[in-house]
Amino acid sequence: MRSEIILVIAAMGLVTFITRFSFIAISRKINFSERALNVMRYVPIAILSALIAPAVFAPNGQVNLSVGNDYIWASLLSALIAYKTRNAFLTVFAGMAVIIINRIATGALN
Amino acid sequence: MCRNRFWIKDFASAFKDALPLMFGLIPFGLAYGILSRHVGLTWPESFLMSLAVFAGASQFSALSLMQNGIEAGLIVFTTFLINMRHFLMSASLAPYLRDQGFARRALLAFGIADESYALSITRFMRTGSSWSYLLGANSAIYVAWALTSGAGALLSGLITDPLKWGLDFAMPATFMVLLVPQLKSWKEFSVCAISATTAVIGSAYLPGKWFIIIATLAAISHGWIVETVCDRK
Repeated sequence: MRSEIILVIAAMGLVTFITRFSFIAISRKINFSERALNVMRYVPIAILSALIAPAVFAPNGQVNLSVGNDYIWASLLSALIAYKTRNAFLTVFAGMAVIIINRIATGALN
Repeated sequence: MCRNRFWIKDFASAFKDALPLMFGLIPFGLAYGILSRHVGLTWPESFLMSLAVFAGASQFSALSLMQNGIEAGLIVFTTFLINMRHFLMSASLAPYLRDQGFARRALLAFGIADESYALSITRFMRTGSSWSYLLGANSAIYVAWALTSGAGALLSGLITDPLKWGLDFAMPATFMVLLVPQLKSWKEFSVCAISATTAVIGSAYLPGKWFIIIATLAAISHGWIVETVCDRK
């Protein structure tokens, strides 16, 4: 291993750790107000939405709202199953089945 | 003894909850490993980066920057920018980890990823804080990332397009299971809609993972206004 690469990796690891530890490190010194805690309830919803939506509507970094975007069809079925069953495995496999069937049908897997 | 068993129980239940997400990491880990060899990293270097940095998006961006020679400052700064979204997750988890010692909080913080954050915060909001659940979720994702990215780097000659089977859909699908039950009223729905719309547009026009930060801040500001207005009534 090249020492230059190891140094870069170590520095990358350090700055990444700082972003993760930040507020957790000082958590005892912060007093979270009622309002702040109420608003922070929305952080997971916001982050989850921000992770899901581009993966579905902009799968390759480009917005794709066409009928040919199989991630949209897969997510419609998955959202329904997620709502009905709350079972992650069923949700994942149903969505992936839509994608694989569509890609076999359109010849994209050849 | 009893405390011990409780520790293992939450740890194991996090591992089980993380399984579909581990599965979803396969194509990304493989893709990272393959790309790392193409830009000239040896497999120990590639593997070390996964172990020490453990943040997929910033590792990908580091690889693409390494194609033009190693500019350490630029690579490290870009890593920091891409991982700034962790500030939001750290702030959101902080109230739940106040009672833990410094070393334990540091260990827990080291392993926070999008996936383990999503699992853990959902669990915390439902049934209260559990450091061992967070540790279990972190460990599961860490192991999956190490194994898949290590495998990609070792087998880089054999695998062509790891994304074509739609395995990448496992991530958004699992997140849906976490998100859907939280959409209890118009408030949550509007936060979700604002974040989703901003994120889709942002992902197409902003570099790196900025879309997550912008979308979350936009949706949180909206949530803050909603809470303020509702408080007054």
